[in-house]
Amino acid sequence: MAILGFLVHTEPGRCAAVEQQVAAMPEMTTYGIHQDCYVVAVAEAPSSELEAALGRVGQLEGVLTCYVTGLTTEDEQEER
Amino acid sequence: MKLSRREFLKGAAASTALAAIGLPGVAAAAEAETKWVKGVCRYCGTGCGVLVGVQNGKAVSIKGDPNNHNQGLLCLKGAMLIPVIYTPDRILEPMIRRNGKGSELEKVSWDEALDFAAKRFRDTISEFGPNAVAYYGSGQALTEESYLANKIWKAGFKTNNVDGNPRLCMASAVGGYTTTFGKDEPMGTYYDIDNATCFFIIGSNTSEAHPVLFRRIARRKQFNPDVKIIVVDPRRTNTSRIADLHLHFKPGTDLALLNGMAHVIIKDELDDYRFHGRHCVFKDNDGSERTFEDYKAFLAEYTPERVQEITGISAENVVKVARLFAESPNTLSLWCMGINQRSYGVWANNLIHNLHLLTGHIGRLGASPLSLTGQPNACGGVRDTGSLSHLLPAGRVIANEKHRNEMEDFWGVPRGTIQPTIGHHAVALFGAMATGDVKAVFIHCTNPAHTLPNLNKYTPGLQKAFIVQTECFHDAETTKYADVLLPAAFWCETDGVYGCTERRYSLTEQAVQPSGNSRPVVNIMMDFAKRAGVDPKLIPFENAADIWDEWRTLSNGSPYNFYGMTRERLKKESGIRWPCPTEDHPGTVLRFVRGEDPLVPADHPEKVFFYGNPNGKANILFRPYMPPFEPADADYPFVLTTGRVIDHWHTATMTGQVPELRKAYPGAFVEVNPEDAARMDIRNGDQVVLETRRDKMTFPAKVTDTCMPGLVFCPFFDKKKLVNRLFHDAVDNISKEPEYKICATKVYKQV
Repeated sequence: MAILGFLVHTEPGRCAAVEQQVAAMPEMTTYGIHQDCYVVAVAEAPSSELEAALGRVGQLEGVLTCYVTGLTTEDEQEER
Repeated sequence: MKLSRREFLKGAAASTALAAIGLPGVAAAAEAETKWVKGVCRYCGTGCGVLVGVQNGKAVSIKGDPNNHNQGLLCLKGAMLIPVIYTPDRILEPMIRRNGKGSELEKVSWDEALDFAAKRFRDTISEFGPNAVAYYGSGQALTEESYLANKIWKAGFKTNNVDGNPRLCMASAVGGYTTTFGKDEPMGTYYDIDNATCFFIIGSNTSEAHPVLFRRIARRKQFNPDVKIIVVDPRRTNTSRIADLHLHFKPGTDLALLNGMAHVIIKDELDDYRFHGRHCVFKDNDGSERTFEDYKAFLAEYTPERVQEITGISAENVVKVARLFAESPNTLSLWCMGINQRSYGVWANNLIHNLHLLTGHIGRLGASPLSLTGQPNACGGVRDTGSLSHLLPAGRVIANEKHRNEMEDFWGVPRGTIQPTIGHHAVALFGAMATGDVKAVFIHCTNPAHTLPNLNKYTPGLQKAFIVQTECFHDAETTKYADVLLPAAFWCETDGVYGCTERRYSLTEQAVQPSGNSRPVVNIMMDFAKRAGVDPKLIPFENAADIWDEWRTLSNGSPYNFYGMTRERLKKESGIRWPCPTEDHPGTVLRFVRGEDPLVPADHPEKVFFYGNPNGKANILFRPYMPPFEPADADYPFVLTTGRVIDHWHTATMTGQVPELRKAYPGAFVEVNPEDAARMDIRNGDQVVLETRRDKMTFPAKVTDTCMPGLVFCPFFDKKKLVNRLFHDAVDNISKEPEYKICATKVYKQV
C-alpha cells in the first residue's frame, strides 16, 4: 500500500462540503480545512489505484485541483 | 502514545501537505531510518524541488522540498517518479546492433559498445569531415552533460552540428528575448505570480502542463479576488476555470490580437510614455530605427473591428483585454508552446514583450513577460550553455568571430578551431541524415523518432544514419533505430544541475547508486569522446562537479554570471537565481533593475537598464500579423492542434512506465466540439479519422467543448499513435522551431 499526502484546493465557500465528501471515501483520511480553501488529506491505497482515487476527488463539485506533497511506496518496495 | 509504522507514515504524509501551506505537521517522531536527499523533479520546466527518501540504498519516498519555490508541492507525475527508477523497461546494459539496422540488439561490454561507437565516428570524420557527425541533445539533460557535449563536438570534433529538442519547444522564446532584450532568459521570476494583479495567459495550458504554478496562480486569485486572470486559448482548458475572461480565437491569429491590444492601449493613452520613451527603441521589421509615431501608424490597421474579423474575438473584448492588461497595477504574461510552436513564434513573443514595454509592466515584482519552459533544463542546460547549432556558451553566437575566439581561448584550442558557420538545426539535421550529409549522430536523452514534425519525412534519416543513443527505456521509438545503446544513470542515480524557467539553478544530488550497468552520462560521453579521437586535454574532468566548476568560471563576467554558485552552496540551498556573481550574493529576482541585478552598475543613471543590447534599451518591434503556415481551407476544413495531458509527459517514456499514470490516459484521443460532432454524427468513443496532407490516422473521439468549433486536439504522448506524422514541418524563420500547434485536417467518422 502506498501513502499519498495531498492538498485539495477548493473554490470559495465549498471547502467544508468537499472535506466531508473526501472524508467519506474509504481510502482517505482528512486532516482538516485550512485557510478556507484547502483540505489536507492522505490516501492509502495500492499505488496502481492512487490516480483513480485522486481523480475521484478532482471530480467533486467545487474542487479546483489537487496537489501532491509526498508519496511513500515503502511497503511496495519491500514487496518487490 | 505509540504510533504504528503506517500511522506514522500517514501522519508524515499529512505533514507534507500542511507544511506546503505553512502549517505545522502532525507527526511527532523523526523519520530516523529514512535519509532524505535533495533534488529537482525530472519533468517539466517548473523545476520543483524534491526530497528523495532512501532506505537501505533504495529510493522509497518522495516529497516536495518546502524550501524550494514549489513550497513542498508536487504534481502526481512528480510524485510518481520513484517507480520510474525501478521499472523493468529501463536499459541497463550496453547494447549494439553488430550487423546493422534491423539486426538484433546484443548485450555487450562497455568497452565493446564504446569502441564500436567511437570507431564509427572516427572513421566518418576521417572520410567525410567533421560535419558528417552530430549531437542531438535534450532539455532534460543535466547542465554538465550539455556543456560537455557542446565542448566535445564544437571544439573536439570541430563541428557545430549540435542541436537538441529545445529547438522544438523553446527556440522561439529564445528568439523573442534576444531580439527584444539582446540576451536570452526572462527578467522575472515566480515571485511575480504572488504580486501580479493581472495575469495574461496566452498559449499555455498551465493547469495541465505546469500544475504547481497553476496552484500558485489560483492561490493568488483566491486570496486576492480583485486579481484578474485572462486566458487566451482556442481550447477551453482547465486553466480557464479560474479566468475572469477567456478568449477563444481562430487558431494562429493571435498576432493580430496582440497588435490590436497595442492599438487600443495607445489610442486610449494607456501606454507609459515615460517608460518607453526612456528605455525603448522602436524598430521596423528590417531592424531600422523608427519613431513612436511610426509605431502608431503601423498599428493603425489593427482596429478592434479589424482584429475581430481576423481572430473571431469580439471588438468589445479586444478593447476589454487591452484595458485590463494596461490598467492593472502589475500585469504578468505567461505563455508556452501555443506561442512558441508557431511559424511566427518569435514575432508572437516579440508582440507580448511589446505590450509590457509599451505599458511599463516590467522591471518590478508582478509585472513581467515570463515564458514558461517545457523541460526541466532547457533553460539552464541548453540555452545558457549555448548547446544549439548557432550558439556558444553564455550568450555567445557562432556567427561572431570575437565570441568564437573567446571560447577557443578559454577551452585552450587554437584560434579557428570552431567553425564560423552554424550547424544544422533540429529539423534540418534529420533532413541531412536522410540525404546522407550527416552520417553518425549521438542522440542523448530524447526521442526524435516520436517528436519530429512530419515524421514520415524524417524516418528515412533515422534508418540511414549510424545512431548512438544514451537513453533509459527500451520502448522509446528512437531505440528502434539505434545502432548503439549506452545505458545512463537516471535522475537521482547521478548528480547535476537543472536550470528552470525563472533562472533558478538547483542541484540534484545522487541519492542511490546507478541501476544495473548504467553509468553517469558525463562519464559515458568523455570515455566515448576520447576513444573517438578527441584530445583528452580538452576534457580533463573526473566528474560532473569538475565540469560545473569550469562552466561556472566561464560564466564569470558574462551576462549569465553565476560564478557564486559553488557546488557546496548548491548542496546547501534549494536553488539560486542568476545573476549571482559572488559566493555571498543571494541571487537575482529582478533582472535589468538597478539595485537588484548586480550586472547593473549601482550608480547607473537609469533604474532599468537593458544591458543585453549595446544601447541599453529594449526593442519595440513592428511585427505584422501573419497567418499560420497551413490554415484550414475548403479541402482540409479543420485545424488540428496538439499538446500534453496532465498525467503524461512528452513521449511518455517515463510516465508510461507508471501503471497508474498509464491507466489514466492509456492512449491518444481526439477532442471534437459537440457542434462539429453532431454535424458529423460523431459520439464519444467513435473512431474518427484525421486526414492531413501528410498522412491519416484514426483516434477515438472525445466529444467536449474544450475545443472551439472547427478545432480538434490530439495529445502527442502515445507511441502507438504518432500524431506528429500528421503535421507539416514548416519552421519559424528566425528560431527554426516547428509549428506543431496548427495544421489543416479533414475530420470524419470511420465507417
